[in-house]
Amino acid sequence: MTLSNESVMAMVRDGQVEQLAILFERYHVRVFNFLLRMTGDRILSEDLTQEVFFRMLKYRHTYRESRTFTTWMFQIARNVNLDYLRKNHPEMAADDAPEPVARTVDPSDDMEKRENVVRLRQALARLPWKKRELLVLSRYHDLRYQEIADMLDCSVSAIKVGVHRALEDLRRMLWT
Amino acid sequence: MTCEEIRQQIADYLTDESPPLQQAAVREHCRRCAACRHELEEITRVWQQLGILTEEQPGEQLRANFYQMLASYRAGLDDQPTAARFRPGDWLRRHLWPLSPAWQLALVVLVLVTGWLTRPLVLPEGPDPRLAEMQQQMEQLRMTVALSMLKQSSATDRLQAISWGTRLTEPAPEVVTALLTALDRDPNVNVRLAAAEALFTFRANAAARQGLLAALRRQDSPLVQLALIDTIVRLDEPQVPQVLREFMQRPLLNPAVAKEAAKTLVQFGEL
Ligand SMILES: [Zn+2]
Repeated sequence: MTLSNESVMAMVRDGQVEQLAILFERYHVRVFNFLLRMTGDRILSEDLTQEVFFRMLKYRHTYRESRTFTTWMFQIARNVNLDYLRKNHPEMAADDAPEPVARTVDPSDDMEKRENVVRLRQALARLPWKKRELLVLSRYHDLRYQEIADMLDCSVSAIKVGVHRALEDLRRMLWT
Repeated sequence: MTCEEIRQQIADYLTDESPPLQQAAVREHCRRCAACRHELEEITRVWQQLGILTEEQPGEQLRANFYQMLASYRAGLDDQPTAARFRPGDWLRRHLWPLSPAWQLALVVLVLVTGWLTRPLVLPEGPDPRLAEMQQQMEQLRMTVALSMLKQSSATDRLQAISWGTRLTEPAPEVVTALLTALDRDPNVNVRLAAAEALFTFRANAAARQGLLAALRRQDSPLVQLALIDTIVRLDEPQVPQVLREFMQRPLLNPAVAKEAAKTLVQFGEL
């Protein structure tokens, strides 16, 4: 039988902290990619990923098995991202502040695809972070709107409206 | 449905979260209403465009940092005084390895921390011997966690453990044994293939080399048999033709595998 994320995290909470290695191996790439799409900075995203797993240890007592592990994990990841913004770029942490252009290099060889990737990254980076977060969570992380709503503590319909609006903003940036 | 209601449901439409009836209603409305149709097409296009941002891999340093952080956190926990009466017997029984990798981890960390606390204040010139010692202890830690993960029931975890074990500079005997067991008995073919590949990277180790030669006889999956034939040929061992000849005596051998074994024997000038 495969150990569920939730039971592994419960073991971590109850003192077998080395079991966090299992969850790290299962999820660090996803956490890293969430942060990379949010910040556009590889080195920074690696540091923040480390911080996410550190907080899982630090706040392990607050984990409840009734809670889906991935929801809890993304909640920590977004808090880490937000804390970083507040501390280092308080002007961007404001709800509708624009953000600078992302600085990642795509490993793709295909020239046209690479241009599209760069354009898309830049457009994503120009979205206010709350909208960007909604898109990143719903598009790339297999999270249901209900899960995102739980995480962000708001209604499901607010999430759906938010996703729609973020996509409209992105469309305007990409094609007009 | 009104246009307003349709707009509210576009997000659902993208992720297939809405029931089929509702999706049909959206499609039906869009067939008649050009404005909503345009909106749905455009939004879907952006949604699909987002798919070109594929997943990236973080640098290796992230993993090393994580395990270092985990080790120091563990050390911090062990330093905390506990209210309960300390009974060495119970404590040892509860933490005895391999029942709990925790003990191994704790030990490694304890050695690390003690070493650091008792370091001489004036450091000698030249490379620090404690750095080498620390690297060795990290390697030990890595091995312990890899071994514990190989016992995981999810194939993904076991694959991860193997890929991780491959990064050890020198495999301890228990790592080679664990890999050979995985190669023989793991229910998942991908895990068996990964174990064969890992053992090949450890081919300087005699046990790994002999284990690979012996594994072909016990292997049932044609896919793994093919991979093993390819692997043992690269071992450059004199027993290879003998192993292959014995293997070809097996009843009900997959024709493709038999052909490959024969072809390899020809290369050895044996057929
Ligand atoms: Zn309409």
